[in-house]
Amino acid sequence: MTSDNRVLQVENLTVRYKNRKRITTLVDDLSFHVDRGECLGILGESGSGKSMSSKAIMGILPPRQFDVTGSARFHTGSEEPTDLLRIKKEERRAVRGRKITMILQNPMACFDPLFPMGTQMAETVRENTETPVKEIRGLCQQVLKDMQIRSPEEVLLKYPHQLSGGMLQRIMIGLALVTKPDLIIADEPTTAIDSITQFEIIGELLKIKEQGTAMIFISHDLGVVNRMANRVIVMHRAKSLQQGTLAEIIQNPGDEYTRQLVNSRLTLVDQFNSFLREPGVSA
Amino acid sequence: MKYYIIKRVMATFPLLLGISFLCFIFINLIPSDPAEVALRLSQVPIVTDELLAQVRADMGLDKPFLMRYLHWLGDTVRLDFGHSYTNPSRTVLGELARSLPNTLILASLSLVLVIALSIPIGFLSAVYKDSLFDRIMRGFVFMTTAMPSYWIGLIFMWFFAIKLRLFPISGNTSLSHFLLPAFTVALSYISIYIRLIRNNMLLNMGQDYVLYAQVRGLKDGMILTRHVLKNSLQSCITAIGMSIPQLISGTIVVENLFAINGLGRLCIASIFNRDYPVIQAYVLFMGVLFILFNLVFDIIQMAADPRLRKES
Repeated sequence: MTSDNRVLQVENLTVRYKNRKRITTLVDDLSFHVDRGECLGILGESGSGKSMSSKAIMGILPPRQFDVTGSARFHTGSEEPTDLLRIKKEERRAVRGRKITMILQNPMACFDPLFPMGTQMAETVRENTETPVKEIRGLCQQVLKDMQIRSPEEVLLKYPHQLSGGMLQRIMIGLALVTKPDLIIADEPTTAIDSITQFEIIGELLKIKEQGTAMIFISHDLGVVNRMANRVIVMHRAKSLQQGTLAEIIQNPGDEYTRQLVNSRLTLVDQFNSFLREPGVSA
Repeated sequence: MKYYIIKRVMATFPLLLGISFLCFIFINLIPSDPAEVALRLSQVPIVTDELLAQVRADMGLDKPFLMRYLHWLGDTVRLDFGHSYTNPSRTVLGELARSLPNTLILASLSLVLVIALSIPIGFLSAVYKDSLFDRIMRGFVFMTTAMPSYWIGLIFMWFFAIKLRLFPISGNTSLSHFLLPAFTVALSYISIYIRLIRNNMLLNMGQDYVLYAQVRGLKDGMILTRHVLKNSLQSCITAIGMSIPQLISGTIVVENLFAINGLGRLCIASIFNRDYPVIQAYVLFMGVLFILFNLVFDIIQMAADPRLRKES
C-alpha cells in the first residue's frame, strides 16, 4: 500500500494515567494505520484501551492526568502530514470536529440538556465550516433529512431528552459528516441502543464507508465489526494482540484471548450474518 | 406546567396555615403572662388582680385556646397584627413596614455581593482546579464558613472603619453605611456558593456532553461558559432562591452590630421588651417568606429546565 492513500499513521502510541505517584498504562505501544476508503476495526473488551487510544489521537484527554507519547501522523490533502500529538492545542482543535470527527456511544448523554438540538447543531456547523449564517438553519435541516429523520424543522426545536437514542445517534452521525472529514472515528456507536436501531445505524455507517471516507470503528461486538471493518486490531489489556482481516484472525487466532473471543462470538456472528442475508432486511 | 403551578400554589395554603398555628403555639408557650407584661409596659403603677382580669378580658386571653387562635388568624389574614405593647399608639404592621426597607436594602446588597463574587470565583476555581488560585480560595472558603458573622463584623469595623477610615462605623443614613454590614452578611454565603458552584462545575465537566462538545471542535471557553456554567447554575437556582429569605432573616445579628434600624433590630428589641405581637408577626412574616420563596424558585427551576418543563 502506498503512503499516498494514507490518512492516519499511528506509531508507538502509549497512554499513561498519572494518579499521584501511581502510573497506569492504558494503551501500550500501539501502532496502526488507516488508508483512504478503508475501515479499521478496533476490537476489544471494556477497559482494553480502545476508546483511550482514539481519545488520545483526538487530543481530548486532560494533559494534567494523561501522558501521551508516540506519534499520530495525519495526512490531509497534499500537505505535509502533521503529528497530532505534537501540534499546538488550537491547531488540534481546528482538526478536531473539522477533519477528524467522532461518533460517541451513549447519544442520550452527549448533548447539553439545556439547549434545543437546532442550537447545538448550529454551533457545531458555525465552528467548523464557513457556512454563511443565513444558511446554517437550512444546512442543519438538510443534515437531518440526509439521516432519514422526519419533520426536521420540529426536531431542531426539540430538546435532547425528547428524542430517542437512535435519532440522537443519527444526528451525531450527520454532524460527523457535515464537515466532510478525512477520518471518522466511531467509538462504540451501537453499544447503547437497541438492536433494531443498531441495525439502522450500521446501515448509515456502511453508506459512509461506501462514500470512501476513512473510518476507525471501535467496538466489542465481533458481529458488527465483521460487517464494517476491512482490517481489525484486537486489543486486550492495553496491548494490540493481532492485526489483519477478520477472516485471518478467525481462521488463525494468534493467542489465547483472541481464540476465546472468536469462539464465544462465532455462533453469534453466524446468526447475525444469516439475519443480514434475509431478503428485504439488508440495507 | 400550568397544572404544576396550580398544584404547588394550592399546596402552599395548608403549609401557611401550619406555620401560623406553630407560630401562635410557640409564642403562647413563653412562660409569662401577656396581660401582666402589657400592664407593666404601659407603666401601670400597681398591678392588681382586678386590673389583670380586666386586661385579660380586653385582650381576649380568657377565651379558650382555639378560639384565640382563630381570632388571631382572622385578624392576621386582614394584616391586622394588633398594637405594640411597648408603644400602644403604633400598630405592629406599621412597625414592620418602618423597619423593612433597611433590612431589604441590606439583604439585596448582600445578595448582589454573593452573586457577583461567588459565581466568578467558583467558575475560576473549577476551571483552574488545584492551581494556586483554587487552593487559596479553598482556604478562604474553609476559614470563612467557620467564622461567625458577629466576630467578622467586629473585625471589619475595626479594620475598615477605625483603622482605614474607609466606611462609617454604624448607622443607616447612606449607602456606604450598608456596605460593611452587607459584606459581613454575604461572606458566609459567598463561601457556600463558591463551593457549590465549583463542585457543580466539576461534576458537569465530567459529563459526556462536555466530551462531545470537545469532539465537535468547540472552543474550551465556549464549552465552559455556554454549556458547563449554565448547567451548573441550573442546579443552584433553588439554593440561591432559598438564601434570599435566609439573608432577610439572617440580618438580626449584623443589624444589631452595625446599628441599622431594620427588622432584625426590631425583633431583638421586641424580645427584650416581651412585645409579643411584634415577635409573633415577625416570626410569621419570616415563615411566610420562606414558603413563598421556595414556591417561586421551584417554579423558576421548572421553567428553566427543559426536562421538567412539560408541553401544554
